[in-house]
Amino acid sequence: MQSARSLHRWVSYGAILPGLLLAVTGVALSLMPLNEAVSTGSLTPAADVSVADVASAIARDVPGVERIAKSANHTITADFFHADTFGSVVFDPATGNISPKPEPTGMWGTLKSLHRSLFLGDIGRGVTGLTALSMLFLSVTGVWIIVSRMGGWRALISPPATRGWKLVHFQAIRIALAGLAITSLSGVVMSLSSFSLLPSTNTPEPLFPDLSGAQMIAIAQMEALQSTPLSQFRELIFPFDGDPTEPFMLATNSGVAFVDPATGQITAFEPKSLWGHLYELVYLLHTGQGAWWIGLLMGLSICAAPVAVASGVALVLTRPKSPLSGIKIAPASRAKDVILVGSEGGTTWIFAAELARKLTEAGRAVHVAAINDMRENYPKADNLFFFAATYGQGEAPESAHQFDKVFAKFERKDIAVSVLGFGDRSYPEFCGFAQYISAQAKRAGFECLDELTLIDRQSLQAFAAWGAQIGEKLGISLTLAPRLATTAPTHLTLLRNTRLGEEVGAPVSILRFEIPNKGFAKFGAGDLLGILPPGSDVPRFYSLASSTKDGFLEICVRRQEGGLCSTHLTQLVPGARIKAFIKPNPQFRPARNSNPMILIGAGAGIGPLMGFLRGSKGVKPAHLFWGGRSEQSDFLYQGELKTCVETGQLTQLSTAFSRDQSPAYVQTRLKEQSSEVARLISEGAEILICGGVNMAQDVARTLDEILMPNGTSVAQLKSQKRYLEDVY
Amino acid sequence: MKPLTKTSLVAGALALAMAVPAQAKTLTVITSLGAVPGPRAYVAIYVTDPKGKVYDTIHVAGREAKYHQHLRGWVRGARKSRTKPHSVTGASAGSGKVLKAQFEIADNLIAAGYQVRVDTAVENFADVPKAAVLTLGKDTSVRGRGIVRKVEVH
Ligand SMILES: Cc1cc2nc3c(=O)[nH]c(=O)nc-3n(C[C@H](O)[C@H](O)[C@H](O)COP(=O)(O)OP(=O)(O)OC[C@H]3O[C@@H](n4cnc5c(N)ncnc54)[C@H](O)[C@@H]3O)c2cc1C
Ligand SMILES: Cc1cc2nc3c(=O)[nH]c(=O)nc-3n(C[C@H](O)[C@H](O)[C@H](O)COP(=O)(O)O)c2cc1C
Repeated sequence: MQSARSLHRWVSYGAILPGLLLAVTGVALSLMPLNEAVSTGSLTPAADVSVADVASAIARDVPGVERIAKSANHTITADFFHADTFGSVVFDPATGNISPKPEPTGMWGTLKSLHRSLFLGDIGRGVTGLTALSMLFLSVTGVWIIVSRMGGWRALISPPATRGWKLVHFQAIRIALAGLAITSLSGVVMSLSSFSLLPSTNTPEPLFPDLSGAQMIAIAQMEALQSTPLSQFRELIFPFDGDPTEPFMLATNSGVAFVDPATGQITAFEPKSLWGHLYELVYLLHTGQGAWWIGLLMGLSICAAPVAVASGVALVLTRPKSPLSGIKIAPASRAKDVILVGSEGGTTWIFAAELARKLTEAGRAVHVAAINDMRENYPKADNLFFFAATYGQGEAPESAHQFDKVFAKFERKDIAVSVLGFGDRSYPEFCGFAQYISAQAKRAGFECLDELTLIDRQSLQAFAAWGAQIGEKLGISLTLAPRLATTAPTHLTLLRNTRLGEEVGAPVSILRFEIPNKGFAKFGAGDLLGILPPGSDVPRFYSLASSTKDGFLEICVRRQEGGLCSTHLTQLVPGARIKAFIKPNPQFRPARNSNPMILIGAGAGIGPLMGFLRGSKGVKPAHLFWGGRSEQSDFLYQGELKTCVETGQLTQLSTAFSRDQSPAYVQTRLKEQSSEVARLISEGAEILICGGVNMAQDVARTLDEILMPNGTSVAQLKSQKRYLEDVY
Repeated sequence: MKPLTKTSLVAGALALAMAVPAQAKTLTVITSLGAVPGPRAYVAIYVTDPKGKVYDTIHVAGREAKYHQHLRGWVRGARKSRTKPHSVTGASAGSGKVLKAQFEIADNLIAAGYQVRVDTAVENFADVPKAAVLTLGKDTSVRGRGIVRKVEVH
């Protein structure tokens, strides 16, 4: 993987300039077949006539005709030699019109030879051939990288969970890949063939026949030509100057034949080789000659290649500066604390840098490095921290691919190890790689500084809590508040605070804020609102129940016992201001199709689900399962949900209350309606779940039971991105 | 232009096989081209028996082997005689070019009606096999067709 990536990168540096040139000229040339088809009228299919009809018409009107040929684009040209001059005309089989052959316009020829040989003759042809080979290599390794990074082939077609330049880059690559793979493979074949490095694709002449030498019969009478329809026709060569010892040579889609002019019969035939047929397909795919729409499709696909390159460059340029800058990193030989980082997207480095900064400020010598760069020894170190993200199916991220190798070589055992895992609970192997490191460290007999800690979706609260605990162990006070790249916080003004649930001990508020100004980030339901509570640097995240289109920001907040931010928020009165910012959360969002959605939530978890309902406008049939404590006390959005049911925007509403007459939970309702749920899922429904971890686990277990008879499972739905969770 | 010289190994081998007395002549063939349309022309100058079987290749103008198949009479005749159409190549030829080449041939083959033939091919125009056919011992100069104006043998 590592080597495939660096190879991919180096090959792309080498191929970028000629590659772009080939792509741009290729896209321009992709219009050529259409241009020819339009200008010669061959957009309409050739008339249903025989070669005998065409050839006799031309022979009558064009003195000295020696050759008739049909181009891949179905243009019929006739070459003649008459009165000591050569010439060519174009014949229209539909009308019988003969017109002078249009001069090939300079632009196409120039483009073509630029594309083929960069105006550099054989050297240029070699360069373009190698470039095509590089493009082919990049397409294959590119697919491989995407697949292994995202953990499956599905990644190639499922919507990517990214935004901005990364999304542009990824989408452009996906669009360009098809065209690039096909044109580069065919380009390599054509290049090899032009250097005669592949067997000849031409059908050789059949063995020369013995001819009767008798008087030639009329062309219209020749049976071989009568029985060949124009659609099969390629080329007809006349006996030069009426030479009676020469036959007609007739090339068709299937081979080359000699025709005796005296009998009009085929006297010898050489079929086209399989390789010849194959090469024609290759040529068709590469040039679109003969099927202008193939040319256009390829051109469109490859249009995306320069976009991919440009967005790739933009990605590199907009990459944030190293999170380690400004921190005094100690050399490996002197460090007391060593932080080893396994990261792919870079956020884990920000957490590591925060720990390094705070430890350094406390006067300790700290070294930070990628796991891949782990030394065989850190002679002065007391503590070894592994900060590890997880990718693929519980696999190591990019900067930790060498973990097994480097870890096995490590010499000291008298060092305390702490493993902090970064992951996302919605993946089946939550923090799989950190768990692996922890198990390996235990197996190797290392002392553990603390138990393995897992951080879900870069939770700053969980990280701060871990830091406090580590600080205690090290005898220092550690306040960890990393600054993840976010938009700067803005002041929001509260419009409305709907307070519910107080009577049943589950205080929860629906908070609606004003969108401050036009420049405020665009957001959708399911994105997160990061709120900085007074007296803390660590933001808390709340799932948005509205989108920019709704014209307000809305969240549902459950007041936590002793909770800093939630207590503050649920007590706000209209007009109060808070500091907040948007954090995109594109992986939690319904697919843009008309498949049904099953929305499942409890308590404040209804927030984003309500947002999805508002956004779908009835396009997606929606089934909502929601659980609260008491219908009388904490039924969030009661009125709006009833209206949605009446208008049909919500197909079905199932509520469960745990403190009412017949106590029930959401999973109770799912079980009661298991056949309906199973049916919806078999029809392609997607499931979106929001709320607490426990509820999510119970729901997953129940759904697994419901799905088992159908031979599917939650894990499978997750891998199809049809089971999305936002749990906290 | 420097005359091209060619000693035919095939000639020697055939002569031996047929046990023909090795009485031979060295002849010069001069091929004059007229106007060549468009790009440069490929030209094959070769010796055949009266039926067109290639006996010897004197000169081929045009170096890219993949275009040689368009010199149809030559390729065809070589197939008949099962000799490889080994090419004695030079640059492809433009308008007004005069190609001079020497070859050696046994007297008895001249008497048997062996011929010097010229094939031409020009990109985008018809190939002309037998653009000129000169029967040795009978003609010393013939008119050609297409781009070949004239062929002479001394
Ligand atoms: C992706 C995401 C989406 C979320 N969406 C929502 C949402 O839509 N609605 C919502 O209500 N919440 C949501 N949350 C949870 C929310 O971000 C906060 O975590 C929650 O409101 C609690 O924050 P707080 O400041 O009130 O509590 P904190 O002060 O951070 O305390 C959190 C909990 O820990 C306990 N605690 C605090 N300090 C200590 C201590 N020293 N020792 C032991 N225990 C302690 C508190 O009693 C409390 O129960 C979401 C979280 C995430 C990660
Ligand atoms: C393509 C992809 C696959 C992931 N796979 C997993 C996984 O299997 N298990 C897990 O716990 N987290 C998974 N995650 C979440 C990341 O581990 C998590 O976001 C981490 O904080 C990223 O850290 P980094 O930015 O340093 O790479 C995945 C993330 C992405 C983008």
